[in-house]
Amino acid sequence: MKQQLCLFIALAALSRASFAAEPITRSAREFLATHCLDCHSGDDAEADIRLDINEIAWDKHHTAELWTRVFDVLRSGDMPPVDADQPSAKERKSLLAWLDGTLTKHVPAGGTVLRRLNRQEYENTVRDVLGIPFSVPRSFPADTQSHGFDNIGEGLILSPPLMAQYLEIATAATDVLLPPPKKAIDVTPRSVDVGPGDFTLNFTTGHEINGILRMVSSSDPLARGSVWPNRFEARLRGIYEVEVDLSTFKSTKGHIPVVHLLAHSAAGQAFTKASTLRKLAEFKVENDKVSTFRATIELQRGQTVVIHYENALLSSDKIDNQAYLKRISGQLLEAFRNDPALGTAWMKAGYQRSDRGWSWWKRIQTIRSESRFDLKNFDPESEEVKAFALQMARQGVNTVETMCCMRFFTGPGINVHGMSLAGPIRVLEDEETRHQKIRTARFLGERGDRDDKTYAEAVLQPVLDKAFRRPVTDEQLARYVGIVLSHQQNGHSFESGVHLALRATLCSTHFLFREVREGPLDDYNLAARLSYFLASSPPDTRLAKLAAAGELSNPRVLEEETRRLLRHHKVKNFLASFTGQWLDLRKLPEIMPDARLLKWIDKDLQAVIAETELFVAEILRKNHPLETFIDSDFTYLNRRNAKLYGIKFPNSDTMKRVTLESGSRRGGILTQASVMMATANGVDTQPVLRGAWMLENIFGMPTPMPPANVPAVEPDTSGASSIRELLDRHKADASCARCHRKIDPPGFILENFDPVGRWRDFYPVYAKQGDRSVTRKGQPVAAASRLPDGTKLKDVADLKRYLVRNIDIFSRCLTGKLLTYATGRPPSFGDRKVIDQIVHDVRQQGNGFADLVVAIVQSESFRAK
Amino acid sequence: MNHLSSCSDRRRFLRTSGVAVALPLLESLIPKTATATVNVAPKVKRLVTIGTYLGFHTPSWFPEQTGRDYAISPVLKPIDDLRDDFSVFSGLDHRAPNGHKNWKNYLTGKGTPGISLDQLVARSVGEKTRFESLQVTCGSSGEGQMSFTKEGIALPSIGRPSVLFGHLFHSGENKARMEYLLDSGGSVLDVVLDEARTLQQQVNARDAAKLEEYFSSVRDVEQKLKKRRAWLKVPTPEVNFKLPEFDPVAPDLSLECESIMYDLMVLALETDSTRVISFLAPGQGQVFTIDGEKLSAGYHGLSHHGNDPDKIAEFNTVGREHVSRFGQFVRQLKERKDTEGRSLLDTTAILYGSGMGNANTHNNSNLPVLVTGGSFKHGSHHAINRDNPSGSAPLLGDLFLTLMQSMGLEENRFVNASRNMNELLF
Repeated sequence: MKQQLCLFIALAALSRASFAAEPITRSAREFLATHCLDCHSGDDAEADIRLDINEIAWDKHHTAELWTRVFDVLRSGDMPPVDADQPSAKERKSLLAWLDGTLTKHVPAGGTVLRRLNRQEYENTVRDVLGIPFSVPRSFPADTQSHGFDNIGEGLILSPPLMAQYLEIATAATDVLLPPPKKAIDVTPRSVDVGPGDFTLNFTTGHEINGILRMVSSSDPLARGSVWPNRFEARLRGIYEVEVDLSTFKSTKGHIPVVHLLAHSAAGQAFTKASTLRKLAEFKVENDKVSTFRATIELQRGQTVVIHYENALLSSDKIDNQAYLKRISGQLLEAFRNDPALGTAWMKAGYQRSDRGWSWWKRIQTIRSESRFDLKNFDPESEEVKAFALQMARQGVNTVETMCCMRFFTGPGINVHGMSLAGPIRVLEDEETRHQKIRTARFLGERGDRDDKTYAEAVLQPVLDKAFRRPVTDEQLARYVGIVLSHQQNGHSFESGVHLALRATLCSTHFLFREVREGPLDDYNLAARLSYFLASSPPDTRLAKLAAAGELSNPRVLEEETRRLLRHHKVKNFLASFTGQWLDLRKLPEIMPDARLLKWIDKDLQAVIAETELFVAEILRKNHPLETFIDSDFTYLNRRNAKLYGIKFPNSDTMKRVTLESGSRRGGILTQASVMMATANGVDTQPVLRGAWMLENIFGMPTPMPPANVPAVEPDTSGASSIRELLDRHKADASCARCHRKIDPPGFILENFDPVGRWRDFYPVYAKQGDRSVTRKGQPVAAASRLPDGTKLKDVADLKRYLVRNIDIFSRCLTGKLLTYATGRPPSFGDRKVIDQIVHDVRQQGNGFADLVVAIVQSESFRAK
Repeated sequence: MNHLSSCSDRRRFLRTSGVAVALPLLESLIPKTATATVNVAPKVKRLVTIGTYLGFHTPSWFPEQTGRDYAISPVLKPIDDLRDDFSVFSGLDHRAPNGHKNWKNYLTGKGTPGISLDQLVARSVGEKTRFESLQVTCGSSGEGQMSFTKEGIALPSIGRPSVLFGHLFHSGENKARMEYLLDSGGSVLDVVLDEARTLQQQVNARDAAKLEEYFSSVRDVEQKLKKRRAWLKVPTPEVNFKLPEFDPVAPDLSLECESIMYDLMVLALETDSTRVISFLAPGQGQVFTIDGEKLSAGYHGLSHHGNDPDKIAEFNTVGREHVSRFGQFVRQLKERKDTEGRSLLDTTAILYGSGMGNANTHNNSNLPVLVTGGSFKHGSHHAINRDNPSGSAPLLGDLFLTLMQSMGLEENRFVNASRNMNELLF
């Protein structure tokens, strides 16, 4: 039986491999024989491209791709090679006309191969289908990009480790909905005494003096301001009793220390912020004699109790930099006023690299004990001392840690004399268990007097509809209900049966793959493609309803729904994923700018990425014309990227929309730090790489990979020869020149942007000066270039003007990218015709970005599998 | 064509799936996907890879002299008694980029996706034991990641002694549930395969070819389930070990945790529960108490010592604590025998070191590296001249090749390394 089935499938496949061969016309054959077959014939054909054939088998996999490529290289003039005889313009034109005709006839729009849900789509889909909180584990494999995106059918490989994860997650996710029975646990209460030495201390969060643990800082990260017992964790969720013995230490007038107890995972990260933790109790410590504070608290399993000195005056937290500097330097000056000898010693000690916490404090103390100071000359009100205090405050957390050491002796602070914890005095049902029970009840509904089969059908049908993104067929439903019933027959409960059926659902091809059916998409497939395109999520109820009613394919409804999704908050998934990949923002975290260029921290990176994301989001939201991508009079900045651009900006990390001065160098994605970083390597710029990137992502003219036997042209960092000289030498070779005359110009135009997107007129030259690296002015940047069509460009402003004037170049590129992302396939020859039409139509309407998205969704290409 | 063969494979599989599976049969089912084949009987059977997240102060770690008669360095002092049992290397690394995020090059040589040494070995020797490999840390591993599959998946580490112990030695309570999940998991796959076959008839040729990925992945997972199922039937070994009442998972107790983890790792090797272990000693801002004295700064703060001698001294105090615990581990292996009655140390190759060359500057070159066990020729400090003008200085990957070759793996290339260091160790 099975064998027959296999045979049948093989035959079916064979019959589809039908008789779609078309002869090549005589004139075309002659052209090919004269100009191509020298290399592209026989078994050892160059690049495995064989053109010595009499007919084209259009039904074969790669035929369309192959002849599209032939068309492309003939049109661009990349073939025949420069050192070969060239066809006349007329010959070339007539062959192209024939190719265009036959490709148009045989390569329709469409051709997406089965698409597996990618990582993010899978995560969102499991969450939506089961209605549970869900994230994939960190160990979940990432997807590879193909044609620039990670949602392309052919690139989404299903590997054994991924399948293993699918199976494992199917169980884990189903457990959240239908949990397995819990085993009994030991609930005997226990009590633990915690001495002052039994606390986890990080950096300078506490200090033990004479059997007392002293705390002086209210910094938010636990590692900078909190302590917790290192040998206590709640064995189960329940009510515990806690006692803490506290007293004040040299409290200043009017300051009443407030201590918070907070719940924190015992095996958690030390850099968690106290402000994010659940408060268990609050104590006011008003006495310098020991008082015992008691609280009855609720802890989750695995949690411990953090002691946080909520209102300590000292803190390394920084909301506003100016206020921070004022506060810290003020506190330092006050300490100097109270103890001029300390001030004198600290000024003598100054700040040395790596000074922080105890080591700095000890250095200051040594200086203090070894020297005799003339304290009369020390005036804490003098400008010199004030400036010193400010300079110290700029050392950030290093100074605050050192001031902690000071305050451990001078106060104000609190003393922790001990702590005891007992419990659970009452065991509570886990919060998670409570939610689970509600979810389970909602999912299973009331059984009533239904029999197993009817009940199972009622439970499974809605979830299968959602999981398979179309109404489940009777046959499918019977299959999954069958799982439940046969599992019951094997002695398991009804719930276990449903559990099993759900696990199967989440491993099913109908769940994991989409865009299964041949031909134009039906309403259900259309709903799914639209929803994954603009939300990376399965269709919502409204889309599902419209699909069921057969209304979604109505162009008016489809437009409405597209615009609705563009307003939905989930459009952020589209923006992050599409922009992150098109403009390579995803690569940025891997790039570490050279320390000789500038100091770079994660917040700088976030600002740079946020600028582009907010920029693209606004273009979409406001339906700005596509020209805005190239040239705009606004962008989004905070103090960090403003500094990169040399633009004056308030001292704030909040991203703000900023209007750019007209004629400014900035404006448009080509001038944004994100794109300039992504097209460099953090250390130096390579015009070839930037140029190739521009051709691929802005001009829509991908260049072939460089031949393997040619070494890359690398900048000469000694500064002796300019990159242009090096490349000009390279271009002297005609076969190199053919690509480089296209690649190099847009690359050189951007040479004014350094590897982090700052403007420069000269290349830097680095030299060692002792231990330090110093930067000198090197060769001037020569950005001027000439495009292959003869257009002369002086600088990036000229390039922007050129692109705005010829906006179709960019529109076609962007449309191609969007269509690739939306349909999960590189555009076929037929799709290209559709793209041209879209570009034309949208321009007529005013070229709005949102309008472009709508036009894409309405197009034949989007609606073809 | 593909399809026909997959059908018949599947049929063959279904025929065997009904019968109770015994171990020897199971071995024949194991796919021959491992890239390297294992020789008849290599002397070295096990691999342990160990890394400390914050590394060591290498000037205090590398001995000053080379060869056999080197004076022990300050950080290696606690294992001076074992000097004939280990080889210390200087000048090795992967020529890979620097920075916190590149710590993971330690065992992968080139970041991810890239398979780590331990997983490369596990693919060859892992199928013989209950656990193909184990990943261990102390409490939370923080940002540290050491073991990666070839797909670039970071394998999660076990940081609680009680969990590692339960994992290794008493599957009792969870056993029934695990059995149930494995059995029913098998039937889940049967159903979805059946359904996929129906689908394959309805789709075009390209999609049908795409679905082959699904079929072959499911078959692979089925075999893994069968293997796990078979191991469940084999009782876990009985060991005499008193687990502490409390898991020291707080960051400042990580050294205490480290000792327990080493003890458990000895037991895992002794009982042949696994032959590949990787252990990552984490480092955050915790302030350690050593010999009753609180250190003056957090561990991470000490690692950024800025060449301050006091800080370096304290950083080395922590370094010595790591090394002395490692020493205890090696001594235990030296005393004990494996299930075949051979010295555990002689039959286990152990790599000790860090992906951090200099935590002060986040530099990942010239890594601290030490090899012990494996019946290698030990007792020397091998100083590799990184600046060798011929550009032929050995890389850390070359040492990895020697370790793998000693275990019978026919690996001749590891990322950018293609030689080996056999003449130094064999």
